[in-house]
Amino acid sequence: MIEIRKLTLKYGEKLALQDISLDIPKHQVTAFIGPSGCGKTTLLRCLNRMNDLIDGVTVSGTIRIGGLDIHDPALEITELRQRVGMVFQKSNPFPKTIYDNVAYGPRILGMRGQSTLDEIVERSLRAAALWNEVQDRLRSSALSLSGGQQQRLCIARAIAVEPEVLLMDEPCSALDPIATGKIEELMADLKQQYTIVIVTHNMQQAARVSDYTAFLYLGQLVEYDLTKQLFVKPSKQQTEDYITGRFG
Amino acid sequence: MIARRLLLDRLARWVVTLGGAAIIVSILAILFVIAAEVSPLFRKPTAVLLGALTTNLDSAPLAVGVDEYREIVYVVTASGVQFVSVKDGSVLASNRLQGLHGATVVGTSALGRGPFALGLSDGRAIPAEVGFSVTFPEGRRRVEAELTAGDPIAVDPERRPVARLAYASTPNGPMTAAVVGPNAIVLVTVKETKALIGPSMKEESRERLTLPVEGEITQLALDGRGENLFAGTSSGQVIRVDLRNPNEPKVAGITAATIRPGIGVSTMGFLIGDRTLVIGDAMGSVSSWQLVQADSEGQRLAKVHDFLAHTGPVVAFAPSRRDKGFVTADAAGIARIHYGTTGKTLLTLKAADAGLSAVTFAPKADSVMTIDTKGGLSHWTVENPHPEISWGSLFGKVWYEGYPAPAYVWQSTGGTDDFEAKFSLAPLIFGTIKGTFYALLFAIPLALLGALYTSQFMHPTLRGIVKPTVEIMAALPSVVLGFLAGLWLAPLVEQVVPGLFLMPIVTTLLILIAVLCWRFVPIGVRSRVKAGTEVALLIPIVILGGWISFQLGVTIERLLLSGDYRGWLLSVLGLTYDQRNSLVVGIAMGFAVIPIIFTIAEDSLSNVPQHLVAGSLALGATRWQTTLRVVLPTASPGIFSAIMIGFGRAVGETMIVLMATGNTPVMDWSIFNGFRALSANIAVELPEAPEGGTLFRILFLAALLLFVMTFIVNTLAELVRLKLRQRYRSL
Amino acid sequence: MKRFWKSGDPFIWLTGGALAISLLMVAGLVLLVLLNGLGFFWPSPIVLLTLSDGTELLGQVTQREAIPQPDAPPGTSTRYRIQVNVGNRDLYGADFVWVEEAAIARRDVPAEAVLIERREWGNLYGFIKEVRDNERAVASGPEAAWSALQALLPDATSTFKEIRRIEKKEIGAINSTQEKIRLELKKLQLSGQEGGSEIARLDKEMEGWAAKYREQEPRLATVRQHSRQALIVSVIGNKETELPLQQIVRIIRPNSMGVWSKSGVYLSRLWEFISGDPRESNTEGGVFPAIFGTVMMVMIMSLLVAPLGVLAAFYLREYAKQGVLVSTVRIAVNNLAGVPSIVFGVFGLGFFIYLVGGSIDRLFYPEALPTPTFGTGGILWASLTLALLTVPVVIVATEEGLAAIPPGMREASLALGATKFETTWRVVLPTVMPSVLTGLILAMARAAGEVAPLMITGVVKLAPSLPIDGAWPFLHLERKFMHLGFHIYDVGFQSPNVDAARPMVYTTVLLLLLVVLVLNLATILIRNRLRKKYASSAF
Repeated sequence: MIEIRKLTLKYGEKLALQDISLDIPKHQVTAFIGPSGCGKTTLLRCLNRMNDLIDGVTVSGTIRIGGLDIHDPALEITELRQRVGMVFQKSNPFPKTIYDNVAYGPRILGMRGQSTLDEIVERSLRAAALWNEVQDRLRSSALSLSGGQQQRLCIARAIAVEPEVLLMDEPCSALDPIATGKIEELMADLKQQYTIVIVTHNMQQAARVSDYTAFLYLGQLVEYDLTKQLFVKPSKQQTEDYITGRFG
Repeated sequence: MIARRLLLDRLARWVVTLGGAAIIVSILAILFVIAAEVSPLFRKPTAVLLGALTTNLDSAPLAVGVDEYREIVYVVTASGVQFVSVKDGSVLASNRLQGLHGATVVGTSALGRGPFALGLSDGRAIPAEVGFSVTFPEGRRRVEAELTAGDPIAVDPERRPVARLAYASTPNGPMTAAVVGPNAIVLVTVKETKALIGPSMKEESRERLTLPVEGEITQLALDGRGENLFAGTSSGQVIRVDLRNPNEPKVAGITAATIRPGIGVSTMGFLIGDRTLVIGDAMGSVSSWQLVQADSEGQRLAKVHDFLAHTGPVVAFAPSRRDKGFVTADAAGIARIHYGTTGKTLLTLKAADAGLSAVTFAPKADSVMTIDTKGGLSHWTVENPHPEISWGSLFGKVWYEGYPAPAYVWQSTGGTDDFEAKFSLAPLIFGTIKGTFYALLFAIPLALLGALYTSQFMHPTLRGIVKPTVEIMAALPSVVLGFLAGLWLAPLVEQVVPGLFLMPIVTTLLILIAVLCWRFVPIGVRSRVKAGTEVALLIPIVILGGWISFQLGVTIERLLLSGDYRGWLLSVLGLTYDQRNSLVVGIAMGFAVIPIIFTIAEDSLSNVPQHLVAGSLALGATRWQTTLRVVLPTASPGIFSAIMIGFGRAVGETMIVLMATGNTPVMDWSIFNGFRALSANIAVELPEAPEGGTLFRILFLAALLLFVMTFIVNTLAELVRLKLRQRYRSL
Repeated sequence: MKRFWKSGDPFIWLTGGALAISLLMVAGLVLLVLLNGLGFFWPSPIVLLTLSDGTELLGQVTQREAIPQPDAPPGTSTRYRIQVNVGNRDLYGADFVWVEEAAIARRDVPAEAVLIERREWGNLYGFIKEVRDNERAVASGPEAAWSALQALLPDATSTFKEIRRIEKKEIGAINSTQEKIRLELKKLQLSGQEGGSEIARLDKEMEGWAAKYREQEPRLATVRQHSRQALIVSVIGNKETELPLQQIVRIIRPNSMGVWSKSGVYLSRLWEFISGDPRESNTEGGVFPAIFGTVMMVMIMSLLVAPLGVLAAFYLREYAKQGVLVSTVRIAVNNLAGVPSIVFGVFGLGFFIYLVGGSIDRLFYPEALPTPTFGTGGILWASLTLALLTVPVVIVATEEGLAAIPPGMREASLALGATKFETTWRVVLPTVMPSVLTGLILAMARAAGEVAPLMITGVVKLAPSLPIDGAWPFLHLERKFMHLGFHIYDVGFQSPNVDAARPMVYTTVLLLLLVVLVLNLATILIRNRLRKKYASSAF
């Protein structure tokens, strides 16, 4: 589904990612793990070119999503981002109503019909397992929701534009265990429909939710394998050191 | 769909970037627009030679003049007055001077002051006047000249030629002074009494004076009021004859006026207004002089300025009829344009190869004409809209006409045409600084102490009330403060001045007494008052303090100041008391400045990192010690920038100073006098200043000064604040 | 004692004292303005003072103060004097008199004394004698005349209004049309046309209007003739004066009024103050044109300053490349808020009025020259100047708001495939709106209170017409206007009769203060709500 070939990324002179090649399969959860500053979030943000927003970033190598080169000049970045949704570390709902938050994406894409929108909002909220909690207060502010609910709302907002890939950047780092559990359950459901890439520094989480895991260290891909394989029998010493908690 | 969205995005980026940048540029352009209006003030004057003509005069020219439109030049020659077209130099047909009876013209009084007199070779003088009539046949301008001559006056009974003479139409009638012989002068006054019926009566009075001259008299100048006659001599003296008693002219003073004794006075004449005498000598030096009141013996002629000297003898002089400018010419063909007020020589013109014999300033002061001994006429246009302005005249002391010494004076308009505008910005800058000083004197202690209390010791709930209150204080329109200061505070202050000066002391004492008493209040009561709410207790104390001071003030005034502090001020300190004075302005403007200083100082004080304070307190320091040793030093840059911004506000404040001072531009530090500030001056004078005039541009310069001053101060303060913020972040 | 100093308490109390003084000053000022401003309309009793030398004075007491006695020996009791408004300026010359209290032999409050507010010459104090219609007495004696007056006054007032209407509206309209035709003719002449149908048509039209003008005159005379009712009032000093009823604005007998009727008078005076036109060179009547001018100027300014300020702030914070240049510009813009307002006025005069306005005149109104149309101060230029003065306020507030928006909010929108513009328009702008509003209201408050720059860009003490009226094109941006702040300065300091004007100026001050304070309180409230909102969203 996603082919990364020889991806190198520099912040100015500083090398952040070095020669990374990786294939991410469809309808699976792939986790990026590694110590802070290893480049896992940067790699994730490469997938929908969010790094473009930062001055002084240079990228080389290719990334293909569903066969499409995302650095193709003919490809509009907005189109790419609509196909590759993203959920951030810190939940960031707009200061609008719950309904408007979810309907934001479809509206930008030009959908206007009230009934269509209603349908999309309900479907997305249901998919994000939030519908039951908010169905009778869709018109109240999204900021009135709890942290976990806000994060699920962000997921709902991301899937409302029906992306193919869903990127999640440490989506549970600011949440309590119960809310985290709910999001993890949700991921298991969502992978039926979406290809999910998640960045996490929580190895238990990676082990619990992902099918494949990539371990990055100092901007390099150290090991990439089935999660079961990687956690049980890592092939590299560095990986083993990390997952057994010797550093990180 | 996607294309439209992208187009919209690009369009928006374009609009925001262009619009935003344009707005910012246009805001910043203020400085440039104002500077552009100011710049002509300092532009160098220019002169362009429009034409050099050879004229066909019947004899050597004695003097020259020109009409307002610079079409016809009139030249005094031996045969009278000849008119010459400026276009081609041809002599125009005109009426000839009547009554010559075979004599020739050998001398003339100064031209350009209306009527003048021609001296004849047979000892007579003829009053004459040149008039120009302007008509517009078929829409085109046509100027025609006409010479009118009066009845000849027999000046010298011995019928010697009258080569040197002066003429003035004084309030007592036309007065002619002429040199007869080396050291004698004849003064003829013609008094005309208009009878109701019949021809008017002419009464001629004649005085003959012998002056104590070394050498001989070379120049005469008579002022238009008929008060003083000046005679220049070949030995370099200028002798003043006091004519104020017309029946008894007397010599009132002798001054050595040339570069050194023995060098003769070669030209002499008045600037417009007849108060400044310009003297040129045979060595080429040019100086201006005026009468000043000497201590005992009356008036004395004093030198005001030396101008750039000529290399040869000065042979001709002509004043401008618009301003205090004048032109001098020498025998080497050089003409120089000078300005009397500033003492500057503005331009040097190489007018002819031959020696010049006469010069004139055109009536609109936009041109200079020179004529050389061979009759060659040069016509120059002079572009010099603001001759009275130089850095020296704007900021330095200038010796104005009628002043005993150089002074800083602002007086932009006067009643008469020959008024010498006095554009010294010094009194205004002084006024601005004085007002700011007193305002800050009042505001800084109150604002800083208040900020210290609010940030360090005040209960948070109270703080939530105090801060908005201070913000409201900042929002009070200055016109309201100015109104209350001028109409309510000023009369009130006048009655309680001694009490007002006692107030800081009395209130401080009272507060200290209150603290002492507070220590004896039982702990049970004391603990009910939360820390940080003392200010509520203090309000009645402050009110009490005010009341006591005023009562005490009345008593002190009665006992020590003999019951009338104003009389005491005048007799003991020599100070006068204006009702609208700096004290009132200080209070009112302080009122406007307090919230600004307060807010910024409070901000920087309360943003001092809490762990620093906690650290100090943990070491056993008291709250006050911590504040003094830790908080204040850390926040001091912020306090500095608060004061700077307060300063900026006070400098530019307009309505308060306009309404609460008398707006008199005096330079005097006394707190009981008013002043005039730059800002108020702009507000008062700009609505009446004609666009593009000197006053207009000077007021723009005043605005530029204010702009630059506040901008620099504010930028400094802002930079200090930014630095402080970084420091807090790193602490 | 040493411990006393060392504890620091005295210093703390002293700093508190400084704060207390500042707070007292604010409170005192507001109280002063409230007391003086609100009391002005309350009808105070008319007193009849008989002095020891037999002189009588009828009027209202306005002030009382101690007489300064510099040379008096200690212990002398203070002597006081009172200021009495005796009105009748046309009869006595000066309408304020100081009387030493010791010289007053008797003080009466005659129930029948009347206070007549006139359209000209200020107040009249006296006693009603009779009402006349066409030189014939209709009712005599205080009571009868009073009741007759009540019946006749409404009619007289409406007649007066009718005359005013004809003078101002109809004749005014004719005059302005004639002026327009005259300018049109001049324009044609300037373009080189000497004759032709157009000029003939205009000439004819001009003639038509002149005829209409002649028609109006007899009409006015009839209306004037219609009402010859007059009131005879006897005033102190055994004099009588005749007052046409049309000249009466209001007539009251304060000494025989209850609290309710006094309140009625109070409200009616207050209403007149707010809605009426000024009389007697601004010292009487209302300040409606000044209120109107202030409000309109602030509105025009807001219309300009809000979009411009927001645009500039968005450029600086969202679109411009952050760097040294942008931070320098930001500091410069911040500092502009501290540049004296008079400097902006000078800029407005030099740039807007002479440069821009002068060019407009030369291009579009050459026929009116040398009388300037836009090349002189006017409400548009004043508003533009104030917009420039206040635009830094809006920029700074908006920028602060933009900086407070978490970057994640923008990223979320972009990650959904929105363009930058869509993000800005749909997410950033709505979020920053309260900050913009705060900035705008602050700007409005500043503009409403600013006077100095207006003095050189178009404010006048008495504007003949409002910037909006019934004549085409209805909105006259080139007109000069009146302003509350300038009204205060002008009436308080330039008025020939400061004593008469002062109470009214206090009321104007109160009005201006109210406007400014309400606007400021609004910003404080908005800001507090905003803080709470951000506080709940940040975690």
